[in-house]
Amino acid sequence: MNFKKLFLITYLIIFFPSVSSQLRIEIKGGVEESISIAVVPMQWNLEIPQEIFIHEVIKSDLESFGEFNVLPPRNMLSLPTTKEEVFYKDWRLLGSDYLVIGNIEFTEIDQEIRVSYTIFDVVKERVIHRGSVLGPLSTLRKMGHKISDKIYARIQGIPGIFSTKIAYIDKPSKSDPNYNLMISDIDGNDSLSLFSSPQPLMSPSWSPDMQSISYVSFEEGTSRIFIQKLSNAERRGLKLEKGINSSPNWAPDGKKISAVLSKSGNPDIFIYDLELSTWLQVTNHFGIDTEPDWSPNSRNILFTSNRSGSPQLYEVNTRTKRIKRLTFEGTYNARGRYLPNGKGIIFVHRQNGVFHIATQNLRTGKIRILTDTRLDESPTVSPNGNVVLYATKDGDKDILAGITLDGKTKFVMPSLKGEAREPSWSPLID
Amino acid sequence: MIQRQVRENWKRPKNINQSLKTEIQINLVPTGEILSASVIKSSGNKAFDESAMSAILKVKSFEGLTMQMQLFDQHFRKFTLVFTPE
Amino acid sequence: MNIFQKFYLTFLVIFLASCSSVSTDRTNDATAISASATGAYSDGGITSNNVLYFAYDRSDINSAGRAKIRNLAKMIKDNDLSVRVEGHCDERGTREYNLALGEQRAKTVAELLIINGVPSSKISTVSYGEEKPVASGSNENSWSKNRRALVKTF
Repeated sequence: MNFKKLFLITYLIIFFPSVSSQLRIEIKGGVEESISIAVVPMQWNLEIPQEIFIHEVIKSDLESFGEFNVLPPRNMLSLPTTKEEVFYKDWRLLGSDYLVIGNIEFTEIDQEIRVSYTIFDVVKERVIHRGSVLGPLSTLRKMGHKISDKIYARIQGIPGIFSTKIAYIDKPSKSDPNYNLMISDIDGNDSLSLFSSPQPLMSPSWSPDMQSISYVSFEEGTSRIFIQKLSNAERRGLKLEKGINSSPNWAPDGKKISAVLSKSGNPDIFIYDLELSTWLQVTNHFGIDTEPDWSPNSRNILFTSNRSGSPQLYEVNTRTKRIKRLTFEGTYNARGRYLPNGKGIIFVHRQNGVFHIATQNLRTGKIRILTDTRLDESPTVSPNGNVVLYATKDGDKDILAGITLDGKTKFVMPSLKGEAREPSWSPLID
Repeated sequence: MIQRQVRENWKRPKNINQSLKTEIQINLVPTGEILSASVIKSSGNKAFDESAMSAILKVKSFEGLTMQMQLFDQHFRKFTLVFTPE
Repeated sequence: MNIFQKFYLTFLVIFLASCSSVSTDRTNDATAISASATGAYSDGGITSNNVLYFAYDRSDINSAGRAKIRNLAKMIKDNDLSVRVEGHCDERGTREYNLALGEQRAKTVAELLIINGVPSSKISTVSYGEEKPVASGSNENSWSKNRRALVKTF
């Protein structure tokens, strides 16, 4: 027996003692590599020309945040559309860990199509998911996003976000003198103006049921909070108070909105009851209190206050009204948002006069700066907690950019026309 | 040695909770080949568990595990691999 | 049966039952409906438009500004005008925080008008924060022009 090997084994045994006599070996790290997946062009069984290719929608979705590496069809050895045509060995040879195949056909209902797909684990040589998506032909892209969500959830173990939406504000340009409240897919496709006004629009925020958006409009010559239903554009103005009426943010139950009013002489945090149409004051301080965000468990509201002399983030308990300061590093920490798990926050942090997006662990208090551009603001987190989207500048142009919370993948939100600011990520819906 | 072989084959999902931990029990035969593997303590994240299982599956057989029978029986016939991201 | 097959069997027993899943989803073509502001506020009827400038992150007014406000107050009183004071900021810092800062600037000017005899009932204030810059460009030259309060009379 080789001495070196014996040494290694002894080392392992000493290093990993076990309560029982059984040996425990720890595997730390591993390769955090992009997962290789092959998405085969799906069989098109419709007697009309194909314009949107669903495997391309899925490819672009899965590659958005660097977690997946999608094999292009030109590198495939075969293009299977049924389980029988799948030879695991071929795909293993190409280095694919997973494989997706499918087909597209009309259903009995006019203009309705069905996309049936199967996800294979190539390494384990088995089917891990079989699914179908039904919908009108016009929603092919949406169907692709749905399949991407399933693939993502099945492989990553957390929900996919490719069917979610982004709301943002588009500022006036030469082609359009108005401010626009926009929504779009997270890849910037299918953008649509929900509301258009010659006066500023600000601070869009999604209702938890994704049916409505609240925002601030200056159309009446002063700031006022409105709620607009997506389905019919029905608008409702919240009870107008003297001074600032701004920074709306929905409670997790969808029945209340936290916001900022300065009717008492300075900006404070208030809660609006949507059933009673009444305002309830939450904070009361002569400084600036603003930018409320409801905690996922709805117990606390995060807000910015300059009560210590510079803007810092605080948390107020909505029941006891007790206030706790959260940030201590630096002289500008503002516009905070809770992470979906409630264990951390993201916010705007100034360092050497430059504004970055930072995150803070609420248990340890440790902060981590995520971005390295200079006028970064309005961070919003994906509902699965993995990605941050924020507003920044490209030269003088307002753009939206993103970064995964681990800081490893950065991207600029593609295909957005105009100048976008104040992104707000929708919740997850089925 | 076992550690290295498993680690090299372990592709774990990106962007996941750093505090996950999966324990997998392995049954070996003296040639180093893996007889069976089963999750005895799940991390709670199926994808993470499966990535660990895939790593073992890719290894198939541990190389360089030649040793005295007694030592093998004592420690390697049945042992546990503990997977953690950091 | 070779070892790999055996392994695979064990594997199947452990995973197959619990892991393969089936799903059906639906998409719909519901698109949101657009709306636009009708009869939105405009600056019609404004007879004068005076500007006061501020330092970064400040809402106090220097002596030249105070003199300007004194003259304005006299003109407003003499002509029995109404006043709208708008507070503005540069782009640095968060939008909602700047909205609050813009209000402080507007209020500082309003207070000085009141001190100089303009009745408070004739004055309204509004903050636009950083939403209505007069100069674009991320540099001090643009920023200094945007940190302002407008005194509009009508």
